Amino acid sequence: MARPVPFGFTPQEWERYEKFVPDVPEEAVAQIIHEYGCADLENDLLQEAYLGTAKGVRTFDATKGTKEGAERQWVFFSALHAAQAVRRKERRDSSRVVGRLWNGLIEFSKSEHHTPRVMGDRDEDRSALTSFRNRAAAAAFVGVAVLEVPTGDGEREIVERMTAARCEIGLAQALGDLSERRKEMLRLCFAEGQSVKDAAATRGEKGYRAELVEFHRAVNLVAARLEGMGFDGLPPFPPEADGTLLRETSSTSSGSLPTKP
Amino acid sequence: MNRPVRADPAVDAMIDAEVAVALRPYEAEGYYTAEELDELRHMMRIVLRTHPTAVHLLEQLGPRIAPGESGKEDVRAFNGMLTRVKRAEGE
Repeated sequence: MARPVPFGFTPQEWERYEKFVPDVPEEAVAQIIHEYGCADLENDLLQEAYLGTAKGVRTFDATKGTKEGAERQWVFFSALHAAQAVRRKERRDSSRVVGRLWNGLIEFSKSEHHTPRVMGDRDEDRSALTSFRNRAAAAAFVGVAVLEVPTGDGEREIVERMTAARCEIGLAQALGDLSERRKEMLRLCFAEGQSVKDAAATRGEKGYRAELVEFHRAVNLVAARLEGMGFDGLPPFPPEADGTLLRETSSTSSGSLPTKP
Repeated sequence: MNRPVRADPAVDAMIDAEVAVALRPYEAEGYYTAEELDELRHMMRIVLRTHPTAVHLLEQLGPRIAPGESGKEDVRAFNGMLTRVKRAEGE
């Protein structure tokens, strides 16, 4: 009788999963403990990190990242996300805003790729790092930007409504007159935590590649507006971002990118 | 590749500086509470310390590691370049 495969994996998925354990979940937990000093939660964090690793293996789409290490990157941030959820549960004051910040940043981290150059040019590297950290922070902001405003009377709902109110002007400018299609795409990807592939399947109108192009155009437009609001000297999602999925998609040439409103 | 950036106080200082600049617009606009900003700061530090793109760039921009002892420096690339120069000069 064949040995049952854990997590309902196919034999191929199991083989890929075994490549990542125990290194990936342990590294994710080590990072959380290093940053937050929560060593007392180590066992719980590890348990969730293993589940996150399994989820990462199952959800990785090889068409999304063909670069070396792309799968490990995806799986690592899945593990980190799962482990981080445990830490947030332990905190009385964890909020949906913080959850959305994490979701936005993790989704960005899973999908963002860069082509390292062998010989470094310090000016180019400096610019690439500036661009990377701006886009990372903006991804978390977009995550909050599409947070639905709760209507309840509990303390947490009131705090979230206040957060939404604080963000109102900025968010209205950033997301203002986006088309319904684009808003829906951002909502599915950042608020509901779906991958672009899943969002494309949910909408059922276009294929994954076409939706991916649409997703990047929407995010670019939001980023250009954030720049217009004085977020930084560099746009959070510059079209010249080297090696991103945006660049890998031939139909999103720089000529078709939206201009700053 | 997905390994954390090397443990080095100078690189840690670079990460803190990058995070501080990245968060400044959000602090100034008052979009987040102090607690939410603090959480975002933690997350950004983790991402900069572990994301392959950031790790690569931080290591390129960080201080060079001095060789621990003489004779340990890898000079193969330099020797190769020297050979090509000598060939080009007709030696």
